[in-house]
Amino acid sequence: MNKRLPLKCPSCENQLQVEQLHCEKCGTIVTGLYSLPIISQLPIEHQSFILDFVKASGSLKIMAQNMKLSYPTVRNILDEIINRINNLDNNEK
Amino acid sequence: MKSRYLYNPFTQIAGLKSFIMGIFGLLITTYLAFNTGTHFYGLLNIDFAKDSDYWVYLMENLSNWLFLSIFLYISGLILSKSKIRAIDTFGTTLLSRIPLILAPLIRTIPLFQSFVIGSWEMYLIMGLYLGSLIWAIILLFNAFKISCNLRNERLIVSFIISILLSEVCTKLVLKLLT
Amino acid sequence: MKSISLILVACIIFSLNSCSQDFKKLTDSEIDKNKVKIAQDFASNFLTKLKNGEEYQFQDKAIDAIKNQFTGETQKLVYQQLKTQFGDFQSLEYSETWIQSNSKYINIFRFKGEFEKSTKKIEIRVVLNESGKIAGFWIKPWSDMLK
Repeated sequence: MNKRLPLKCPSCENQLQVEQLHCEKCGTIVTGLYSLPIISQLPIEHQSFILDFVKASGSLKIMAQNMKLSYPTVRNILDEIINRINNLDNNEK
Repeated sequence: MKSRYLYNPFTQIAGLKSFIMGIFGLLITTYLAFNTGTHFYGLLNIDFAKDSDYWVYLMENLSNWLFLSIFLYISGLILSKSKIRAIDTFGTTLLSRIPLILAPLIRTIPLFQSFVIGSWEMYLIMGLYLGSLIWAIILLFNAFKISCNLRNERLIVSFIISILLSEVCTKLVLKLLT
Repeated sequence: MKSISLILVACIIFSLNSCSQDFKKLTDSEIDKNKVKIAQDFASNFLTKLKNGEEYQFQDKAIDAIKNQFTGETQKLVYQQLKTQFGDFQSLEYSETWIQSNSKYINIFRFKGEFEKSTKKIEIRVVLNESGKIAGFWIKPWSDMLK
């Protein structure tokens, strides 16, 4: 069963952070307070887009063919993702 | 999904594909316009007079499309944060003109070839033209929105200004050439 | 005041009604080819004469109103204006015939004229009355909408 990593607090909608990491092999537990990587903070559709984009060697043309969308539509999605990443980056700083 | 194609096919169709489809539509529209004497003096202006050679109708349709595309593309270059492609703007603008084929198409019926001002034939043709014009403008708006990735006030204001400028330029050029 | 404005409105409505006349385009079988020839010959000869700097003599081919309106001086002026705008007259060809629905004897003949400077065809309209006399003559840009 594929579980989706929650990003927002179910109580107050704030951005969640990682407090505990667990090693399945030796049982070690690491406790701290870590921010999620920027990519993980993006909606799941955007994360899929980024993965597909890398697999397509960064070609918007191939992406458009695979997604059966027009080139400018795919470009607009990419620009939106870039915008979001920049905003998240600025918030972190 | 299918009905969305009627007012926004550009999420699926842009670039060279839209350009080729649009050229096809333009040639058919021009052919019908020539045969029925339907003049398109700009996007917002139509006249009925079987009085010119083929090249006049071709000039009208080409200049309508070219001026509109040029002004929309320039707006996109200035206002958009994306790297836009000329082929997307020009191609989708061309494709958006396809509904305008309806007015010359109905005039292939002999009843609508010549008619009296104020007659029901005139009102029917003008009503059909108005409907096709509204449809074409909706398509054009979506074409501009997607090809140039603009939103909100930037989109609306630059859209209106581009149409007005292209109307003026088209009329000037047609007056000089014809 | 109220009654005066009502009367005015009624007058406007009546005058509008009297101005709007129904027209009917004749089919090929309904057209009187002789009358077409009369109208065509008149228009062609009239414009050719003016082009050559001559005065057209109406004789008994036109009604008095036309003869009085198109004097020699008026003919010169008219052709001068035409030439400035459209260039010299070249040729004309018959296009269509209309009649007024309330009077089938008034025939409106529309011809498409070619002029030297104009890339577009110009309408040359000749109206013949019930006696076959010239009762109207216009030259204007061609329109498929009859005005």
